[in-house]
Amino acid sequence: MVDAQLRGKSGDNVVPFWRNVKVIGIIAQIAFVFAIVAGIGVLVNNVVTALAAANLPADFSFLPRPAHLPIAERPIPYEGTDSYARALLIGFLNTLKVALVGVALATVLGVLFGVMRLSANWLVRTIASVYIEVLRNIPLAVQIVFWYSAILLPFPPRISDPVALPGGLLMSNVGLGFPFLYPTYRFSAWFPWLAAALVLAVAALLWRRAQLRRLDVVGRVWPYPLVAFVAVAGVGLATTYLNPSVPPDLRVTFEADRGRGTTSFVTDGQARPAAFVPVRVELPHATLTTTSQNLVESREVVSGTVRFPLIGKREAAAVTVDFADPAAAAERGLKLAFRDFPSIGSVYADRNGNDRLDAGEEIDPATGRGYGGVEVVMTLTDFRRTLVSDRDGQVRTPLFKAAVDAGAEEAAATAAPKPSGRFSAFGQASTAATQKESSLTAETTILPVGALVWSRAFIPVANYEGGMRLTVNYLALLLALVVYTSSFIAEIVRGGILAVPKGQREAAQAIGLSGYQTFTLVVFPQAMRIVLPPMISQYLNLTKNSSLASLAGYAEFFVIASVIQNQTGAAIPIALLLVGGYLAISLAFSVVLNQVNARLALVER
Amino acid sequence: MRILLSLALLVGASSVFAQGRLQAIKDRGELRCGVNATLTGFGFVDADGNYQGFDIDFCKAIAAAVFGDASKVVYRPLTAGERPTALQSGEIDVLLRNTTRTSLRETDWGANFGPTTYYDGQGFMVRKDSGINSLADFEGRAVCVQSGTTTETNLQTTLSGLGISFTPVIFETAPVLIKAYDDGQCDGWTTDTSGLLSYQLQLRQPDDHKILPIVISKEPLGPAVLHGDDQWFDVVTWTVFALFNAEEYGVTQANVDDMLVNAQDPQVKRLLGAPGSESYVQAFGLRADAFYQAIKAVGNYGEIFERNLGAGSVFGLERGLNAQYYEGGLIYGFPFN
Repeated sequence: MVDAQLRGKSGDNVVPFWRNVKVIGIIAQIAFVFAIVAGIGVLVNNVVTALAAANLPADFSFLPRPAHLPIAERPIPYEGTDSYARALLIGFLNTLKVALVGVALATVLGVLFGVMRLSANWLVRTIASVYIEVLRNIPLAVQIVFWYSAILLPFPPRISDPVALPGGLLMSNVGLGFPFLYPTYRFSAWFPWLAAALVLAVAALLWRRAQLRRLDVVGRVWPYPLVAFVAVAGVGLATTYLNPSVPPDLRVTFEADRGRGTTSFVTDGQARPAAFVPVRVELPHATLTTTSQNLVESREVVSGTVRFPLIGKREAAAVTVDFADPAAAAERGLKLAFRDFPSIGSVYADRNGNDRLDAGEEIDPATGRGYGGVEVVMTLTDFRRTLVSDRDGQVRTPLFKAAVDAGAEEAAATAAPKPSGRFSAFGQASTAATQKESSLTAETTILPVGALVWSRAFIPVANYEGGMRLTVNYLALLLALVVYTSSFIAEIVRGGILAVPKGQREAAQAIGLSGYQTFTLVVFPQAMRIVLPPMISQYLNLTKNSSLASLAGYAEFFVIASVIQNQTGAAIPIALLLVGGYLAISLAFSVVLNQVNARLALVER
Repeated sequence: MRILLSLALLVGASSVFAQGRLQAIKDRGELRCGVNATLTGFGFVDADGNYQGFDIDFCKAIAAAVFGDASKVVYRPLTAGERPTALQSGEIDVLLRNTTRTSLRETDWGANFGPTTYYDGQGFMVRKDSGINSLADFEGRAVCVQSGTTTETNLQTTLSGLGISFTPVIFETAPVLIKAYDDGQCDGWTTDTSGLLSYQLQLRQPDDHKILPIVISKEPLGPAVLHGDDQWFDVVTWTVFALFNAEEYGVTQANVDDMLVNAQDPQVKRLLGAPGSESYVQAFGLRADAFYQAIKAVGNYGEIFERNLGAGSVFGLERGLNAQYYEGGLIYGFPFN
């Protein structure tokens, strides 16, 4: 009876489709998709119509036009005539530069403080707690401004007075400069060796793994792959230094009036910049002129300060410094005192005649200020310095002049026409250039080089040259992002460690592992699995927060996009590009880290 | 995500007026004026919290012309970068924020520029003792510049055209830039000469700095409105011309009441909308005494200049290019006819 009823219902009377759950589900989904598509269609149509009515650009035709934007920090070559698209790309790369370095440093710092917060030591624990609580409760924008204005800008000024740290590090209020290894034009000669070394290392690694698996031994893995790599790559690197000749088409041209040289490959009259070429500059006899200054710099009043670019002891055989007009200086009773000969000193009036700068003597009682505006000349004999050209093939020296007699120079100066014209910057500057022409005869020699060159940072004019330079703008943003994000990462790490069951720790201790071994071999690996997903969010936060860069004057993606938006008025295309760019970075991060997470995640049975 | 984006786009472009903007402003009862809030002399907030300056006075003049009341203005402080969007979205009625008239701003922004109210040019400020006396001296040095302006483009074009390689440091807002320059991060900084003069006063030791006698660009500053509303464009344009003409005809804030009644010159009568000449001003969609009200509120062009930038101010600027045409300048009021 029951059986027949059931069969009858399902067999004879088919359920009408409006009562079939499956069909209703499909219809509902189609209707939902249709509603969304229609909704988007209405919105997009509205926007397009409204933009057309307001005569606003809604396409990307501005991208190939020349940008004429000055951008200081450029990971790839860029000139003012390059396109908006390239300017945006540079912004994008600058964002990556701060995000990737920031993520790495924030992780290290965050893990450190997270572990410290669980320390048994009261002092360590408290320091970590204070660090975390203070930093995660201050808005990031405030922290960026703090690092920039309160910490980094008050560093000593650039010229001659930077904080010189061991290892060639120079820190001043324009940023940090440090030595760096750069690949030269001969890097290609090393490349086959590098590739061979890599192949060998991978092969050694695989072979070693197979061996271990076959023997089923948990032994120490000897670093054979690493040794093989270093040996082959090292031999290759050495061979690039064995053939020390300079290619015949490699030239260096020096514009003496600007203290600037260019290294380039010249083929058929076409010059192509040659990056990272070492050049030796030799000057038998040269002078360098500066003017004493009264300034408020880095919040300090400096009176009658004389500054020359740093001259190393071995770079010049003899250095003398004197007033440009010694007679006039003697008449005013002025003398020179040096704090760091010859790069930094002061002009003072030796009123008590003890030939020493005493407090107050650098102030002119008549004006109450320092002795500013006094010309001082440094004379060097047998100057010799090795410079390494930068990525654009540029090398720079201090602005030397050939030591000539004063009479001839004076005659040349009076003969030159006076600059004139209100809107003629070009004419005026060319006049200035002719005046300075042939003021220096430097002996420049290109030095032979291997695959890599060691480039040192120094200050020839007013800014770092050579080595690697990190600007204060970049440092301020990086420090703020790292410190801020690390306080969140620390809490995540702490949570992860606490979430590892107590039994794991006790079991580890039971088999006789030490406290350190328990942490590094048992607790921390398990904690990592727990912390990775929330860590990914923090990495993405750090990346997106870098868009506050304009507070520190760092030219990242958002800043450059805003500038271009202002110039072109293309607000909506730029907004779309911004969304696309940040989305690309975030998705790339997510993909990579989710892969890592999937591999690390606990496989439960 | 996409929906949110579209919504954002929609909000950004929603204010397209069906009716004319002049009528919309009258209905709203206030003029929305996009201004600078940090440039002393041109547009800034004074110690009492009131907006003051050269550009602000033109806002007041336009409000007085529309409403007969110079106080019916809402000031929108804008950064350089916010200008185009504020104008394009219709958030502001008129942009009076020391904005240079350029071809790209007319085509890409969709802006219509009224008569130039201030002829400026881009200059450089350096420390007196820095040894920088010409553009060539910027070789290897750092120059601070504000983003979102014509200034940075001029800087790049001019210096790279001369083969000078320099380090640009870009800031979004002027106060941060001034601080960075004052702290010695840059050897020099550049903006319009008027801006250099204005911000020099904010440096710790203004006397230690000088403005180079070099001008690398033409910067005609003036009011801008959005494309596509000719009536409103005419109102802004001719309010400015009315102030130019007032100076030429000798109509001042002090004597305008007297002139309205007693003036014999037909040009003055047409300008002020004296009885018998209504159609000249009413054709703009304004009341007959609109320009009388504007002059009554802020004075003529010369008075505005002297009060904010000239002898009556801390700057003591010469009129220079901004003198009337009959005195060798470029200020030339078109005729009411």
